[in-house]
Amino acid sequence: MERLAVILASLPFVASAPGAPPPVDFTRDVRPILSRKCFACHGLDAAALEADLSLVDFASATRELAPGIAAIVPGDLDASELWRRVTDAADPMPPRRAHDPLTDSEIDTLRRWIESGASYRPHWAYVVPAEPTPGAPGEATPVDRILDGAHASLGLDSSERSDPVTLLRRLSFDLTGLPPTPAEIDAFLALPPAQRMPRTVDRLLASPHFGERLAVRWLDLVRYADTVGYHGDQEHRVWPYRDWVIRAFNEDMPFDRFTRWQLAGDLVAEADPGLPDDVRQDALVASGYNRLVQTSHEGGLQLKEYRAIYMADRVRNASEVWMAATVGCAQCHDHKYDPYTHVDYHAFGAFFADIDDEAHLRNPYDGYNTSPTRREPEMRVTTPAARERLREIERRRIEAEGSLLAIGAPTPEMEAAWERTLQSRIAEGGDRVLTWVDDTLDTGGTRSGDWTFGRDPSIPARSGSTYRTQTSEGLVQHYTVDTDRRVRVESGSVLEAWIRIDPDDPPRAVMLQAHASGSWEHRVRWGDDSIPYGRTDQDSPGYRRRGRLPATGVWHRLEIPLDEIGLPAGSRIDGVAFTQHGGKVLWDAASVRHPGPVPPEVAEAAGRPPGDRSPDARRIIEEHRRATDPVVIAIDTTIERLDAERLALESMQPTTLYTRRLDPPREVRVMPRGDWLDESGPVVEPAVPVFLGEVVRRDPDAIRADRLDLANWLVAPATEGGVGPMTARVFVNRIWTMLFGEGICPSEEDFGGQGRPPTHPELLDLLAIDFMESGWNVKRLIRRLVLTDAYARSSVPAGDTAALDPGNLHFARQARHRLDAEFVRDTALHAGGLLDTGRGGPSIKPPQPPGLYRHLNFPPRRYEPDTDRSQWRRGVYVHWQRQFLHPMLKAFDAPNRESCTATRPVSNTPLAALVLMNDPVFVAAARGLAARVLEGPSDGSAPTSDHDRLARAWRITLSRNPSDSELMVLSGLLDRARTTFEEHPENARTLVGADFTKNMHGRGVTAIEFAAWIHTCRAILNLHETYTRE
Amino acid sequence: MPDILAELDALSRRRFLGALSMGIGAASLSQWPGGPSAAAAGLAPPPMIPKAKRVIFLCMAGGPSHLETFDHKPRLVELDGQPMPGSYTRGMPIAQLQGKELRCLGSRATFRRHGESGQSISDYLPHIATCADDIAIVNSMVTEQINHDPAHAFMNTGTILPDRPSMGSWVNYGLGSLSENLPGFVVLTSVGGRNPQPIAARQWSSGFLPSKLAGVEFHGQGDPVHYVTNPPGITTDCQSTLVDAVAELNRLRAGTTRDPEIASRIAQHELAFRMQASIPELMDITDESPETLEMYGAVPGDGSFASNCLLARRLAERGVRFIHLYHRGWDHHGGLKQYMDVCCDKCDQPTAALLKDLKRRGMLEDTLVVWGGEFGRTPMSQGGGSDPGRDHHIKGFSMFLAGGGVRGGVTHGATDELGYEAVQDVVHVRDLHATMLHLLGLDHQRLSVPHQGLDVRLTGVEPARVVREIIA
Repeated sequence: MERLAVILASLPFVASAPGAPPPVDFTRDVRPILSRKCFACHGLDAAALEADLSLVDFASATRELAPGIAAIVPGDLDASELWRRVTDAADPMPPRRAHDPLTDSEIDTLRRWIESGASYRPHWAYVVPAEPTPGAPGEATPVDRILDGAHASLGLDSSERSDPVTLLRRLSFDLTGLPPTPAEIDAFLALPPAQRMPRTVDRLLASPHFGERLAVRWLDLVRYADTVGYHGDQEHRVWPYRDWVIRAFNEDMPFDRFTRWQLAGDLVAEADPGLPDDVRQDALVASGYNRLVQTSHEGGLQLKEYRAIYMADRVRNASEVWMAATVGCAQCHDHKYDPYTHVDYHAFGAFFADIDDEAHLRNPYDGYNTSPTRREPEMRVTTPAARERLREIERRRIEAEGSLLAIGAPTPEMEAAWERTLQSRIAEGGDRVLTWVDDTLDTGGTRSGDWTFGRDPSIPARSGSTYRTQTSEGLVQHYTVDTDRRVRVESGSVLEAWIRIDPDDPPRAVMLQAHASGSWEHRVRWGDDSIPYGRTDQDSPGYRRRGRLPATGVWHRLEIPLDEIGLPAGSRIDGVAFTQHGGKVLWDAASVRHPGPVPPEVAEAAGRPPGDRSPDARRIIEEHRRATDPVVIAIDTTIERLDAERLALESMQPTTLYTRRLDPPREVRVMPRGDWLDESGPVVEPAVPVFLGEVVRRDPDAIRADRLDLANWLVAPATEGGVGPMTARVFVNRIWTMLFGEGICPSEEDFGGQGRPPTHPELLDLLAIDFMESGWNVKRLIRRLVLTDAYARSSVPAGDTAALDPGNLHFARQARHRLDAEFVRDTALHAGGLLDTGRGGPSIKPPQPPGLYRHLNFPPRRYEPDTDRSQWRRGVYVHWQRQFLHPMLKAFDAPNRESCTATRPVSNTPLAALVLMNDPVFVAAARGLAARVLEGPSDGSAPTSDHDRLARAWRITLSRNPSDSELMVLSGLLDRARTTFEEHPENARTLVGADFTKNMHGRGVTAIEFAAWIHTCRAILNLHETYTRE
Repeated sequence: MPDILAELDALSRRRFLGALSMGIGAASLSQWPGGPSAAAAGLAPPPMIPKAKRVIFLCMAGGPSHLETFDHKPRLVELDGQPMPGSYTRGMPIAQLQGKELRCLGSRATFRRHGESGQSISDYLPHIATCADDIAIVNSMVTEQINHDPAHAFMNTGTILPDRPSMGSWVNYGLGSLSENLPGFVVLTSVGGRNPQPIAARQWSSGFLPSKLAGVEFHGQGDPVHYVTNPPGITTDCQSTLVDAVAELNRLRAGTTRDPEIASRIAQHELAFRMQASIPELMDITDESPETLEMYGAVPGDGSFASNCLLARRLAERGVRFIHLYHRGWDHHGGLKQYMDVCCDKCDQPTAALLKDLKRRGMLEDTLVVWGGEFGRTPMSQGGGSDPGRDHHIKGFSMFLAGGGVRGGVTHGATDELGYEAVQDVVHVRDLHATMLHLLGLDHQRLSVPHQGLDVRLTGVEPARVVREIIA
């Protein structure tokens, strides 16, 4: 960095007259020195202030410290105490113990600054971007005018325009994370040169892959992952948030709404009851942002400690994502380098004190050590198809209810006939037994298990002629559900089943279970607790204990009053299950027994002649008539089925973490020195850092500001009391970095005093204002930037710019860098023709080395890789295990997403080389690429010579044609591989894999030939260029 | 963006080794492993005289009880079953015993004096006891985190803030790698023992330091390193034709683009190819003598702590700077006696064997060995029954150090009479870090990296002290 600084500091000399001292710029030259070397003791942390001297602003620095002594006397070097101290050879400032002395050039800068009047300017990042001066007429963006001007004055040679194919490849990678296909290259080249970029940019911005590409870096910022992070690192379910981010970018959601929904989607929905269901749902899914903190489900955790940890996590993340600020550094004391106070930190954290998410902290032993774990609150997310089906169910339900109402009153004749039937049934007496299953399963609906009925001649059936024999080593269950046969439970109804236990092989337990209203939580068991279904410590309707097993060798009737297993009168049973643990049991008729010939209240009401009955009695009898009317039963069954389908469909919808507001919010106190055990600090209300102003409450009468006020403040223009232009500056800088390799402000993650000032502040401001005024239109911003000359420049430095500007801070050339981990994967799969472009849904699990999760526990984990096509999906959909990220992603520097990552490092290690060489996914990609070139394109223009095929593989992967020397290396490798595999055909057969016969055999390609091509394609998929964006 | 690495390299040397500029070529050379150390590259040596060249850290994950290992508390035995005096515990952090009645649990162990130094060590550790004169016992450790995951993070990185480098990364950052073919920071975890504690890969992360400094986990079973084995059907000869062709093609590309990163890519591919041979050779301990295997109790390929201790020695011999072993069975909330038997059976003999093996090979003098967990255990009992346990405890616990300039045969610091709070010569985790760095020739105050506006150090911002009393 020192080397960089020296070179850059020397740049202004180039433009100035020889020997003329360059003007000192406070922001660029002086503040970094003060911040780095002085502010630790003479900065913003009032508690750490030494000698009562602060150097943060002009007034403090020039204040009289003692009679006649001031740190800085503007224009008078010798009178300035600061100058005396920094040049004191015996006892210099900063003190030796800091191990960070001022360099000669820094001392010289301070000298020139004091001599020229020691002027201060507020830190650039806290100055609201100025309104731009109007650009040149007809100018789309001022990017080229400003950069060209800078290059001229700095004496930098700008690189020439990239060749068209390199440019297309760059654009494809930048906007979609994928290289162009050969067809896309041909189409690009066929366009008139002036139309190539505009038309291709439009095509790529409209591609669904655009959102996937943009999401990768956003998910880094907000630390999205599929697991909780701490201790057992259990899975949690929040992928609908990831899909929402992708969709938001694809649908070009304005960035201000994108911001509001994430920080406060719940409050947005609450404030607008008129939102359509799907929009409301999206806003809530987006509010899952607040739930992306790492959580711990470790036993023995202390609630208040983790409350403090989660708050710190949220403060750090939100301030870094939207403000490029390190407010989190003020957790224990005032920020030393930026004007964030210890109180500011807590007040900012108080915005998040209404997030209801402590269930797992309050009861850590309540089943949270499962995977996937629970993290209440979670919401169901209805897919569009399911939403459509639910509407249809609702429509049909209303229809059915309508037809129920449409059944007219019975005629007097019908009524009389029915009265006769009723009286004769009462006269017959006895109970009503509705046999559910006997001799055959004819209940309709769905079934599970063995439903074979038979008979051992030595044991006669108890009912009918046959029975079922269930024999098992362990747990076994047979059930029928969603049956046509349904029973309405009456007061006193009993569920019964006949069993005969084999004396030589008794089970440990048997269980009867009923299904009603979509739930199986109605169980009773005999024997021990070995059947785990529904098992609870306390007896409950979902698990009722009924003593020992009955005597063996005889038929015995199991029975349970239905109201004891949670089925009161009026419930409707539409399924039964028979479960046993071990042993041999004969199961015969199962039935529901209603006491008496008709329900007792009906018998009583029917005791008087029809004309003599009270209104109540008439009503009871009429209800009974309807309840036993076959037409009514049929309609009721339809309604129940619709209800069951709705329940099943709803329960199949995925869940996601979202934000639910806690009312009142948790109290937030200032924690002295960040110590959560110290509760002596004052209570704080939500507020933004004081020096940045105040949030405007949308409801002036509200007791406190909330997250939506915060989000509004972040995106509101200065005229409305917001910091929108500053937020815009942060985001624009991120997009610029994505497209140019380095930010206009190079410290993308920190715009504060310890960050690096922007190299072209006026350009950054201009773009920020323009972005905001465009309605925060992200695609428009990107379109403008990629259509500049600067974007199109070659990445090969011209002249001596590599030496003058090694970090490319002035963008005289394009950037060159390795692709992000996800796009390394995508690019290989794309070349191999394997990439599955399916989108959304649960994260996918590609193959990974066995045993990667061996250190996970609570519970132990088993990784089940996907075996269908989804294993070839894009990297953005890969399961993100915070503690054990997939080694391929890790080797290429994907972050573990424990905290905000603004800039991924780019390493170059042997572990990455091992992935490219040996990861089965990359071998599969090589296999796919080999198959593609051996098969040729479907239009019949199949290449037939080795050279043509090699060239095709090369062009598919690298977008360009190979040179003669490159072809020579490749064909040399191919020939050697042929020889090798001819000598060892068994190796060839292993390499081509099991799919070879299916795919290649019969096309005249031998295993040896195919293997040689796979090996050669591996080389292409191992090249530096394959994964380099030029 | 590769400039980040170059900058960090440059920074490390400027801020730490003195002002020396590094060209891109040199920066690439120092990509791990294989990169020669700072010294080998002709740079200035570390500023202090190092006593240790490498570290073997034996992490007893879960938190072993100090009261059953090194901290003998007769008074606690007398109070066995009595209520724990409230004066000890009031206002103190507590884990699973929150809201429970607190009763004293006397030590389940018998203590004896060992060696010429007469160090007090429990009968649970008969083998380590034979090394009494080589180890420095610290009975006054304190940490700040009471749950496993953050406590490991604190022990490894000095903080619970995310994305901070583990000590193994710090040491490699400060000293560079000594090995041509191996990473400078290797992690081995062991199988066997009771229900194991989860250990996150974060514990050996390089945090914000370049990923080349991250710990690489070697596996005692299966592929020793991810993807180190050729794809099925590819022989070593075949793989070498691939590496050659890729290098040739990359070179051709470098000729057109003048991309300096390509040279590094070529080197990394070649190195990866060499590792494919060297790592399996390293991990195969069948070439050790039967006597050595027996001394450790190691069975080749069993993935045990014993095998890993032997591997630690082999890694040390091959120049790995920081070797971190985890045994994950020490979280004894219940069944203390039973599981102390299990864990000590797995760990005691191999630990002692490692010390003796290093010593007889003359390697102990420049190898620092550290033994301990992320915290200790309460003097109070947890759970009932015939064999209760102890909860997590952070106010006082024990560790030991040996070799690498450590003075053997000393016991440093003490807890109060019930073994609750460290009261004499308290050694905070950051003091341990400062001491380890000191022995390696690194000044903990100067080993820093700028990150998010701070000069971040392993020992953090609070004062840390080198424990000179245990240095020879």
